[in-house]
Amino acid sequence: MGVSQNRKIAFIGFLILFFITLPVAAGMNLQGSPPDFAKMNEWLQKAKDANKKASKLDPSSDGDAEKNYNPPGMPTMPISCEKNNKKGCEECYKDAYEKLRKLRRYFEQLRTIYAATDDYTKAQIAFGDGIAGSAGVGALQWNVERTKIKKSFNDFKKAYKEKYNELLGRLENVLKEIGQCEAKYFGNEDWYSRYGYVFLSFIAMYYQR
Amino acid sequence: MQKIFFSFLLLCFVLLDGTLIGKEKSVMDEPKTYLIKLKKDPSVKSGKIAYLGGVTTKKGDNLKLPGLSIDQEVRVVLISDNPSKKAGMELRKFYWAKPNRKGVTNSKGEYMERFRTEGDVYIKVFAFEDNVPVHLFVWVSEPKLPPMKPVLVPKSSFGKRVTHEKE
Repeated sequence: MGVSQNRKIAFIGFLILFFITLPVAAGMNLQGSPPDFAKMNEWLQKAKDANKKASKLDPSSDGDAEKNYNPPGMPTMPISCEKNNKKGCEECYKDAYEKLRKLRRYFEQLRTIYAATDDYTKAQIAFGDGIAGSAGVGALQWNVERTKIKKSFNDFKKAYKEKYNELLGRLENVLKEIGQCEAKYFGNEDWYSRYGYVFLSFIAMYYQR
Repeated sequence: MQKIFFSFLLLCFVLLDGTLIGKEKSVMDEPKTYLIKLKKDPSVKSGKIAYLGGVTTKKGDNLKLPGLSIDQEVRVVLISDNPSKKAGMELRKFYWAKPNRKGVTNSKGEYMERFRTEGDVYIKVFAFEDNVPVHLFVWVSEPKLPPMKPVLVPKSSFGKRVTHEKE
């Protein structure tokens, strides 16, 4: 292969690279550049002055995603260890108490993700159904898409179920830990079956999908 | 050798152009969007920010702000360098649906939106003529979690009304 042939090939290679990269760069009108943060701080100050909770972007789907750590009907559980208790029981409950709070947060986070994904899927299907029509190529193409969307949501539901079961298992262990503290310090051997189990059942039902 | 090389080039072009190998465009395909990356900055007390500056057109530019939580407050500020050249902004929860919010810059060349949402947000920035210089600021607060009522209560107050605990 001669030198001129090599040059030709190099030139063609350059042209290919040029034409591949050109469309990508051409559309990029908004690019990062040195920021004027003084201006941004001015706007944030205005936000603080408002001092009100910002409204939801999409009242319907964002309303479902709003967190509520205190769902109606959630049972409470009595514990015998009170402040200034001389038995030194607080240490026993401390760890379990924190774990319980974290688990309630995780359950609610899981529900929020489910609600957002459910709304997104419903909106996709409603939109597709609306524009595809009932006959012709468009309808056929949409049918394939629709199946994919539903499959994707079913996969998500499986993932939800797995996480839900994992969290329930962890919650059961934490409640049993509290039950052990009750038994150790106050002789309440049946605390878990009287109170812990009721709470666990409520959470299981409330977050089941 | 040359023939093989040019055949290979042709194949590359065919593969690069999806339409030639029958790739269907779905109605659900996302438009070409630029991802907004938020970062912490010492000049802003809390939360994360992103800044974009450049020129926009009548066709507009699509941006995506991903992974928001309903517990975060979001502020998006659009500023047109020249207030007489108005620029507009649309916010969409689902890109294919109608915009949830839209508006244009005011007489000072500013337009701001403030909201909370779960998931992604699509932001379209556009102008009424081509090559309008604009700035876009995005600020996302730290999550503010709602109060959590204790479920473990001292025996002495069991069954009585309890107050919320602060996060």
